[in-house]
Amino acid sequence: MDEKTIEAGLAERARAGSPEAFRELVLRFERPVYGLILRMVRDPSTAEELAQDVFWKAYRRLDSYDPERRFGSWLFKIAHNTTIDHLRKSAPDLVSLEAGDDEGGGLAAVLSDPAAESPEAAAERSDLARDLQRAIATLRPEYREAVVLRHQEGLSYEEISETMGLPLGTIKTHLHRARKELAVLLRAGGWAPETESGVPS
Amino acid sequence: MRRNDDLLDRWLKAEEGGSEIDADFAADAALTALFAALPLALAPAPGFADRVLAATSAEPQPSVRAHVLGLLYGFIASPWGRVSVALSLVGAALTLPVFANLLPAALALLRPTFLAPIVAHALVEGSSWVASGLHFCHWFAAFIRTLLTPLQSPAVAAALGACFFVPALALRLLYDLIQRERNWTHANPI
Repeated sequence: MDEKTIEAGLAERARAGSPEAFRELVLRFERPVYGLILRMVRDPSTAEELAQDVFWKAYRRLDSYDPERRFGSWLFKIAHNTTIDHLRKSAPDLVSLEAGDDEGGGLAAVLSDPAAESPEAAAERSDLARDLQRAIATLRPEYREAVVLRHQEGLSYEEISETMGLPLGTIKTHLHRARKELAVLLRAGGWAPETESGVPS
Repeated sequence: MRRNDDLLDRWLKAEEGGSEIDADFAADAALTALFAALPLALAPAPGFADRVLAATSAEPQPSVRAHVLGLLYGFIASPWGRVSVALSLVGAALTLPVFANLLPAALALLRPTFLAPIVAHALVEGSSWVASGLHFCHWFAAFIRTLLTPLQSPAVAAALGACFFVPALALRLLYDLIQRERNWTHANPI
């Protein structure tokens, strides 16, 4: 049984009133949803609040979920709309990455917290992971969201287009430009591949 | 100097491949592989699921149907529910002889002499309904023809077309506006 079928079954049971099934759905998607929102709002407490709001809305709207679609795609759409609505109301309150560092909170603090990393993650790649996260954090919000949905959550171009409410061509352009920007940022951070002479290109 | 990473090198070299479709596809796949190999997942504070469940349990069930189905599933899943279903089946089996005796009397009601007047009455009633429907359709067609008569004039037809076109355009613009409200450009114009 594939993941889509399992998730559709869980959603159906949750819709029928099973708290265990809904809990299983929350456990499956708490990290992706929270991670996506945190990268957008850059504040852990706000991200958790919004993530809870996303699951609460999903619970209330389970009747509108189409089992033919991936549950994650449907949930990311709710997360996208919830985050956008929040940012529209409180755009001036956005916390910058550097400000978070100063206050001991923020995205950077979460990224440097070993507990926030998956246990199986290779320790020797933590530097690269941190630099990549920082590079992602500097991207434009729409680029950032597209990159996370594509490369971290594994959504197809069509699903990202549906989630973000943008044309397919725009999504492809966003991802292409975001990758180029990330590459430039990482090269500037000293991660350029070495040439045959041993000197970074 | 920082150490390099194979997956990172593969991606960065793929990005140097230019703007061809193959190079773009390779860079896309390489970056996905890099993401998968790095500890990039972010997790909420422990107990997140419990907090979400606590928030949703304070809410009413999504719908009456879902509530009834949930109760039904819960009842059937319980030992008492299963015993009740089993007893019902046994009871049905025991009362089967009684129903077998009642069956001839029930079949007697299906004789043609008894059914014929009922069927005839139903046919008459149905025919009158069909006639009423046809009469309404005839009136409606005449009504539409009357409405369409002024459209034979090009000026009236153009005015009516504009009357339809303007609201349609307004609705379309309103839809686009609502969609743009959820666009990042409008949410965070940095």
